[in-house]
Amino acid sequence: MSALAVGLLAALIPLRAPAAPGPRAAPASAERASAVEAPPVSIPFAKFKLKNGLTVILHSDHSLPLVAVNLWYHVGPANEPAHRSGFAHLFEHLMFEGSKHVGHEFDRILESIGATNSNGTTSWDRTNFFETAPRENLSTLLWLESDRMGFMIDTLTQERLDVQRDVVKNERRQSYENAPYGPSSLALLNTLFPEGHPYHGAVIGSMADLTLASLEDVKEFFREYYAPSNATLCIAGDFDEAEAKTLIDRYFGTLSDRTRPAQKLIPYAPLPKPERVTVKEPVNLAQISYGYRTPPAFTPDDPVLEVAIAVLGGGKATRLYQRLVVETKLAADVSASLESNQLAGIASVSATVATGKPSGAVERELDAVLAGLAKNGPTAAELARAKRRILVEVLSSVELLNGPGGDSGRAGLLQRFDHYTGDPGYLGKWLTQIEQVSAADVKRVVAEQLKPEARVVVLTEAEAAPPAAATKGAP
Amino acid sequence: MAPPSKRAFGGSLSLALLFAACASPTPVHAPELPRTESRAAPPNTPADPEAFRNAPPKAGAPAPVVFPAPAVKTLKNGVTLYVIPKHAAVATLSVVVRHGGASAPLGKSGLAALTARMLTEGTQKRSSLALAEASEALGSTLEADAGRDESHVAIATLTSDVTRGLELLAEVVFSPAFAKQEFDRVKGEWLDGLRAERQEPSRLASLVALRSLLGAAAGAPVSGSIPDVEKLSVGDLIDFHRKAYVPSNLAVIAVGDLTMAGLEPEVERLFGQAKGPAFPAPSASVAEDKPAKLKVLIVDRKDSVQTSIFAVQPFPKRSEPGFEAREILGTLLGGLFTSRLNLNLREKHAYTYGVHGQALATRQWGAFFVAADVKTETTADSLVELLAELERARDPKRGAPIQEPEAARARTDLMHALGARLEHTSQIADSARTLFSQGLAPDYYAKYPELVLRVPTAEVARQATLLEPEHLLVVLVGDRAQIEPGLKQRGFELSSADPKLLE
Repeated sequence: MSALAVGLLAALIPLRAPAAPGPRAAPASAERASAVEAPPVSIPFAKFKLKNGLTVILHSDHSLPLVAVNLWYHVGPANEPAHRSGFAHLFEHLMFEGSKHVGHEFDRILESIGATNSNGTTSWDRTNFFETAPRENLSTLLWLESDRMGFMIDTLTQERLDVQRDVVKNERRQSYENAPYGPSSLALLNTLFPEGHPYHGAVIGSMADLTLASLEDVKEFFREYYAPSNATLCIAGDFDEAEAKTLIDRYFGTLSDRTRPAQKLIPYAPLPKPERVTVKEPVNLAQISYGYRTPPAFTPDDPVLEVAIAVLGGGKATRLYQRLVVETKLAADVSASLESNQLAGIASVSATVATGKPSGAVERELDAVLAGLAKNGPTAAELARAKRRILVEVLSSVELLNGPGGDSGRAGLLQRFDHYTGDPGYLGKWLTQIEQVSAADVKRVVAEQLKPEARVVVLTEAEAAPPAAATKGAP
Repeated sequence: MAPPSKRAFGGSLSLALLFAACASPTPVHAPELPRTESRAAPPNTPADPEAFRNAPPKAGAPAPVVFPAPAVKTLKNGVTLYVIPKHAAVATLSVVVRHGGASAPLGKSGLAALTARMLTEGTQKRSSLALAEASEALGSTLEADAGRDESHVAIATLTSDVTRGLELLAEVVFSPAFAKQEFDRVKGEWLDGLRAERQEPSRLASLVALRSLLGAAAGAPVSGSIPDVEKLSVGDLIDFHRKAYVPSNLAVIAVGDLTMAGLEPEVERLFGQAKGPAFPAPSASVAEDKPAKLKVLIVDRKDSVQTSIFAVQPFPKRSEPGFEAREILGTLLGGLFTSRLNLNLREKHAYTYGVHGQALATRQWGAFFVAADVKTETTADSLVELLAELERARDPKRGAPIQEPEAARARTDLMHALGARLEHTSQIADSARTLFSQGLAPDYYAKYPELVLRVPTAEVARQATLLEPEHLLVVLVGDRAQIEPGLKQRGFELSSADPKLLE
């Protein structure tokens, strides 16, 4: 689960103080947990398929006059041809360029009807498009989404492809090349998934590959992956199910089916040997990050890792924060995260080195924390806190119809569970699995999965003081 | 602040594994520019079974945005209680005081934010660790932060844990330990946070610009300048806490499956005994240093592949009439995805991944800003286009007066962005915090949709005449050697930013 951030342009709006330097939200967590019965969590839904293969998930809830549409295409970087890294994401941008019957007014129409949280995102295994709007506009949302599903390719020109390619290159510059620790993040991902692995090249892709993408590639990709049978439509919120079905038939029912492409499933394998990379960046503070390939999403160790990561980071009472930031004062900041995917999960543990402290000592302390957890497991109180944080985060997320990236909130969770397990209603099972994780499980999985023999270590070294001059005491 | 932007995008101190990439970064929202491209002509033969798609569907009757006015009570000691019922499993509880960064004296920037943070680092009853364990046992973290005009502590709890949550809030707000040992640790951590913040070029550009515009006191970042924070003592915090966290400045906000009747006795028990003399929040206008002519400050960042632009000018403060018209203006210029600035700099020229512009307004000052990270080679062209858009919006004679459709989209967006906040207790609590810190009537948001819809386009155009591109202060963080020749060629004079502004 990604943290439920409701930040408003933290980087731009100077009215706010920066996020207090502290741990980043990791998968969420509590000690008295056994004393309070967790409320039951479920998201009621109906699931069915159209003749053309489009899967539909409906969740109606009339508490607010809002309706959310969330459409997943089961395609991501995992499906990109060789030397087309970043293509799935570039394609996502092109989906906003217009379609045959709607014209080029996609965003303008959404804004005119009061749509909020409208965007598209690309992750390793999937691409999604989502928007929330006042309930009276459901038909407009379906009109828009169906037109680009069926007819996007009819209007795309070389000129618009070139513009969006440059926009995506700017995104790569802004999010990675010019961002503190961005180059390190790319180095970690590309070492974790070397050339030949479907995840190689990161979601954003390489500049060289982005340059190569042609209009013909776009058309081919559209024909192969943007078929109704390779997509799942979820509608959540204030609507009448019968009316929604009529609308879905009208707008999606006539779209012609194409064969759903075979999934390129490669078996999961952990990193064969440890890797180490040093990246020099214009930053004030050095950083150490460990990356691990973990078992695929929703395999048995996945919920255990979720709990293990919440024991390690994401709160001030967690092991990494207490040991590295509070007790030894070696780190300015720590984080732990887990992203579960089809071919492999990505676990990461990271510490920003405090001014004047040696990165070697930080690394030793990170190792000691991981080794301690692998040797002794968490205490009962730690385990209870971690589980309670995860529960509260999920409950907080289900307040929303669509979460910020379209993979949280009710529609996002239904989609996410359906994509990976085939069961949109997996949430209850998943929470039960979390609840059943024992201290012994955590101990075993940390020893097996977060071990030095199978990880990538990325050391970010401060190359030169950036403009904001390192102040006294800086190394 | 404004009800909300969509599509947030922010940096982060730790190595952000940005797995997902998305179409739009900025809270972008939209105008009716003269467009070069026409709608794709729908090839529409009678036999086409898909021809029905040419007609956009008709929307049903609009559902109004109903933002509930909170139930409000003032306790005998002056503490205000806001309760907003919402059926949700998780409640958001927050304590807010009407003093933030703006209340810090010259040379003590960071005071309010660090004070808020230190509330969560131990109380007279509990150590820092015990406090963290107690909140995390409730599944949550005590969040403490400050803005320009307010400071707050908040916690999210299950409905069944609301009393425990309120007890924790009362404990941290009224009996913080301010232990020297913890302060020394937090201060070190905080200073590294400030150093990390200054690694981010876009953040640095905004810091330099606001300090330059607003001066050393009002322009200092809420989180503090490095030299100021280095000098702060635990005594400073104790003093600020004693003066600022008094009942007349303090509100308790509760949003969730709760009622005033159920909550009031608990809040009375926990918050009703506090005392303290009034300490009014600052409200006098702050003088802004408007450059006599366009000023471009540069912060050299070698080998930077992008230039971070932050352009700013004075604008009316929050309480000046026309606040909502200025929100509409900011939204159509730089808030919507199809905002004038975004259509130009991103969608037409591909100079950037996204550009954002808006009116900022606090109790003491206002500003209008535009921010974008642009490809290094396009820096001068981007700046030219940015200025041209402001000029076009200001001067109807330049061919692009504010149009009804773009103003309508901005109104719609602002109204429905408020409606969307009703989805989450934390967002409703944020709105209630604004009510209290800005001294707005409890029904301000209840009336907001009507208020925004009523703003005439002519009024938005009138506010646009306040744009002064010729007096803009522009900060560029980028590779000076690469961008300076192009900028000079376009007639921009550059000066180096005073290193003090970077602190």
